[in-house]
Amino acid sequence: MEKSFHYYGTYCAAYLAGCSHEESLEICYSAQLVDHCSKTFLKRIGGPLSAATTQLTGEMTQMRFDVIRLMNITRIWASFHFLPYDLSAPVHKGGKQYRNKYRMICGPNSDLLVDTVNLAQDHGTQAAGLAMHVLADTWAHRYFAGTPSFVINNTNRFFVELLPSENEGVFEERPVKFKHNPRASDDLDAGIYVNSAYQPSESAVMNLGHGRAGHLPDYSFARYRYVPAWADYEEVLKDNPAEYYQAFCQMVYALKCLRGINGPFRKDMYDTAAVAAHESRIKTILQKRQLDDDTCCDWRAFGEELSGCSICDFELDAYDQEYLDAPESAKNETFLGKFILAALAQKGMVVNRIYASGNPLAGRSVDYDVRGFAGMKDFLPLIDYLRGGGELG
Amino acid sequence: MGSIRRFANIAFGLVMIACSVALMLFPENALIVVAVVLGFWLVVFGMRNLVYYFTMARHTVGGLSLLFVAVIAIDLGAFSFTLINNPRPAVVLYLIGCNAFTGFVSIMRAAESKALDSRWKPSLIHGIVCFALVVASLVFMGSERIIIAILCFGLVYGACVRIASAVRPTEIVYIQ
Repeated sequence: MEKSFHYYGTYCAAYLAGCSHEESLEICYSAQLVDHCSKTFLKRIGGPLSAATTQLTGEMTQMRFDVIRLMNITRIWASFHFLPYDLSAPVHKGGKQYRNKYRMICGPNSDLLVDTVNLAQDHGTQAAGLAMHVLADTWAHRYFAGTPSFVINNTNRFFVELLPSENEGVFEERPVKFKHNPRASDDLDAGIYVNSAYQPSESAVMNLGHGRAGHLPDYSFARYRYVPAWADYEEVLKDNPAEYYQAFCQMVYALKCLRGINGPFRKDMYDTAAVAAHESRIKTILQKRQLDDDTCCDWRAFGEELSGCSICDFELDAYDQEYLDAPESAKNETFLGKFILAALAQKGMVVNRIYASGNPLAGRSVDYDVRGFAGMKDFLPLIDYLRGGGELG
Repeated sequence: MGSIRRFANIAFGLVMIACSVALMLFPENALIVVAVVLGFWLVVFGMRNLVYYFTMARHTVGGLSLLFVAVIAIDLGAFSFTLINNPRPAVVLYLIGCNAFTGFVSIMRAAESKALDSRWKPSLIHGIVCFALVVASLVFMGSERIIIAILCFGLVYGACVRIASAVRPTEIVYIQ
């Protein structure tokens, strides 16, 4: 998903869930920050590098691809963008290695999603926003894994886009053309999209996530059929407008849970009642074929109509100075400090679940309550904060 | 990284350093050893791809190319074994091929990183060093000693990177 949904869409969901304008802004800022909190960003503000929630293309191009880097990639992308659907899924083909990769495939309504949302409970708007990013991405990124894998994430030339025709409910098919220039932009009218290059190597970074399918999973208007690498040559149909609408309704439900209205978060629950009055408006925005800047304008107008307040643009450095100026002992009290703690907690939880399932792809996890502290020092502030009696929010 | 993998990485790094020292100390048959190791490595690479194809890649779209990669690598490996009587051209070709490819990729990476306002100088330097090694391999094609020195440089560099990666703490902490 892109800024339109993670920032403006999340604002609307938070407001419909009963949050104030200010709370909604904090939640949507945190949701969008997940796509920007890279190692480069953390170096700039002097934050712990283990709290990175994304990797920039520039960082990836500089990377050597040994086991540690692959684990690091998996930790980041599986924890924040491609939450695994079923870590114990039955797999009847391939060996153990194949099984481990297959179990990393992302999907909505997983046990890990329940853990993710409930982890954010009572931990402030930063943790809530982060959880909403993860939730929304489980819909957009389903069928892809947050680990480099040729046998899971590869696609081939059978990739067809379904375009709305003049007759409602009838779609015209058009083959998708892909090109590999990372600096080019998608041509929606001609159906030409940028994707990562074909690289028949299991752990090549080109085979990370939905790189081989380009930005199509991130476009709310996109409907397409393709043959996923893992599906035994069976076709899969992806209807983004319908799924993004479900994601929106689930965000409203989840945010109400986090506000203590619905009790603990459960799977397959959607607050369609709260969204019903706006269904047509939201679906119109989701189905409009346009690039993200224009979609942002539509979501923003909708959000401003809902709250009657102006929604400021997302500025990456909005909270930098507060964090930089804070003394070391008070950094955890700042906006970015709380976001960093939420990111460390989420990464720690997801990596632990993957490791506990017997899957080594995200590396080792040390349970602090069982073994005490061992491992990466970046997690010390989280331990100090949680065991020091404080909460994240 | 588990303790077994950590230990294996350190041990392998040390073996690489020991090999480079041995190559420098006993250069008489060094190129023959290198040709054998190169052939062996290509065969192993091909076999691994073959296993990868039969256990994983054959289930997936576009996986068939892995079968061809495996067969070609095994074939090249077998070819390397036949060069034991006159190993210098094979080793020089290997050095030029590897370094030229790595240098080209590094410079492309640097160009892309620069366009993305990211760190680009380390990649550029890496690319330039690789091309310098290509030039050195071409210029000193006739000198076994210098060819061996270039190989040893690559081995020691690879070993250092491997050992440094192995000693870093990497465990993620989970607090319930």
